[in-house]
Amino acid sequence: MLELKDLRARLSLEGAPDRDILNGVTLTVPAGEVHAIMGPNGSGKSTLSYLLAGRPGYEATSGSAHFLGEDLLALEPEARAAKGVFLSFQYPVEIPGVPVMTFVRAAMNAQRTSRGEAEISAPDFLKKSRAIAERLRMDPDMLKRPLNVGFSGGEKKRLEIYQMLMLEPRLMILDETDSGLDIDALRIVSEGVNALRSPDRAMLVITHYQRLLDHIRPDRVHVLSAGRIIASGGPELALRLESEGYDALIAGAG
Amino acid sequence: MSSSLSASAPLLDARSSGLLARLEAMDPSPSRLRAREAFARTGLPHRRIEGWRWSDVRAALSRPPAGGATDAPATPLAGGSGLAFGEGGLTAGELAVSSWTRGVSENEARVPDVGALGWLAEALALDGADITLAPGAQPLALVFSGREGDRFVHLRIRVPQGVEAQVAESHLSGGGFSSVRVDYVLEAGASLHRSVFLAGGAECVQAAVASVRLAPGARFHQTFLSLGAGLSRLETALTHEGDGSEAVLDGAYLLGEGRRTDVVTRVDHLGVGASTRQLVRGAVKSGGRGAFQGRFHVARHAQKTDARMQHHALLLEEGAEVNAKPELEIYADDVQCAHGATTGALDEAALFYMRQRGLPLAQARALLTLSFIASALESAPSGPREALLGEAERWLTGA
Repeated sequence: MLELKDLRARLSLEGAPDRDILNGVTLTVPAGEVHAIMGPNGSGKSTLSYLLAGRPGYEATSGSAHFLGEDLLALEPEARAAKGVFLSFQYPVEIPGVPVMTFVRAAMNAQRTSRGEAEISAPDFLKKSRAIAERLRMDPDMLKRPLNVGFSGGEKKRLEIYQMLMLEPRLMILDETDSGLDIDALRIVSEGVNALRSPDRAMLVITHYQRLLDHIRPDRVHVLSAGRIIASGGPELALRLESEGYDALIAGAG
Repeated sequence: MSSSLSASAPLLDARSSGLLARLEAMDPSPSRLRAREAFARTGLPHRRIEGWRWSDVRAALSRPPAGGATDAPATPLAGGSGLAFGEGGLTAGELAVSSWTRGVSENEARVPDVGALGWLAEALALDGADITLAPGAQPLALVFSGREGDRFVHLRIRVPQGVEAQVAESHLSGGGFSSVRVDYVLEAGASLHRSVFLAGGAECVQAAVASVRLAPGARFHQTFLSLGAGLSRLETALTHEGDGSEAVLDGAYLLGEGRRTDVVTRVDHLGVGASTRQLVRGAVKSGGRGAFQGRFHVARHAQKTDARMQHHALLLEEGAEVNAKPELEIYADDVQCAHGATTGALDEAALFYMRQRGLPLAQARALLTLSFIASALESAPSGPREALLGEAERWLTGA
């Protein structure tokens, strides 16, 4: 479903020197599977998620990224979203003045329009929103407040998953979704994520720690270091990292 | 009289002299004479005159028209009853509850300084009205439009003691030169909401000048939306004449190619414990120019004054221009006064976040811009609030 071949990328932002951030990532995530990307800080995990979502400034210099056979890198971020790419942000952005529900409905209808589908009716939207908010045990008033403004770290993460459940994407990229969540919230959020697991969806779970993977069980685990995947394995690889640390693995790979 | 005029005449350009000559031909009342003298001191304002740097009327009027006068693109704000002024003066009028007379009567003891275009409107007003808003009066709609020539209107609106009222002004000239002056007089404990919508053609020079006098305990709340014009000036001179009056002076501007707006306010605090809140927000595209000039004056005896001024602008594209000149003049020692001003661009991180969820770039920009300016419109009462937000949204989405 998602195929990355020898993907290399450069970060070029105004006022900063260009920086190589991915040094040849090759990765295949078949439909129906959940893959975890683990790695120390600065290994390129968030970069990979931004590159796949199309953040301006993150440029692929060589290699390819295909999603459902289509060249992902050639598409605008909104076109990728309409194809079903969803990035749950590590740091969700505050949007003052735009209430959550207004925003999500606009996003959903923009995606539908882009796919040639009819817009969702107001009653259908409300019904769906209510059911998902309940499942994530969110205060319904939160959905009337401006997006992410004044929300705690945990509330922001929960709201990311709310949006994911509303938009029902096909490729979900979860960037450090566990950070800021307490144990109970982690369980509720994970249940929400697991509800979207299906044979026609794929998931990339980016995390620093193993604990999220107790709740969202991965099919494969990849270790990213210095912009390259240095090890891949089953769920047991995450457990090994937890007990031995990244250093041992990185030293072994070097 | 002619000799005193010719003494200042060398300073004046041909257009200003022409305007004065027109007044000579009229039968002037004492107040018109006073206004004419005030206007003759400067003639048509230009960029080298203090306060007119960003509205060079003389230059704008000396450019030959390119024949691009168009009908105003927008619909006027609604009201329960109202007056409409076009090229021939009053074109339609119906004031259900309030009393009014055509033309402004001569009984104004104190005269606020309304600037050169305010004086010009009074001196050369071809038409006008003196209105007293009665208790329970429906919102009053005033519409000013026209496509060519010069148009000057002078109105006075009184809000008697304890009355609560609403006035909606729409300044929608397609072309030509117009100056509309409205003198608001609020008696003790009176309350007025004034909404102002300004949208003019690319060749039109359009001024909306208001003086506002607040008696003790009066409340004045203003909300404007300006889509600019070739030259558009919204000037408000407000005086807290007594104790404990309140003023809110909010509003927003949205400017595209070839559109300018100059938002000028002067607030004088003369009584004890008056409060003024001002929040102006704007967003400008390439080729547009916005200006904000705010001045709060607090007299020596105006203790406990509480005055806050804020202006925040977004430069939406390269080639957009915004100028801000906030000023506080404080002579009392027990006051709270502050001003803040920012100019920036749309938040790139927010734009990417919105696009990641599927919003096309243009829609994300429009939504973000609308949410930026909305807080300066949202304090308006229901009715004008929805109308102004709707106009802003139409402008942003090009619908």
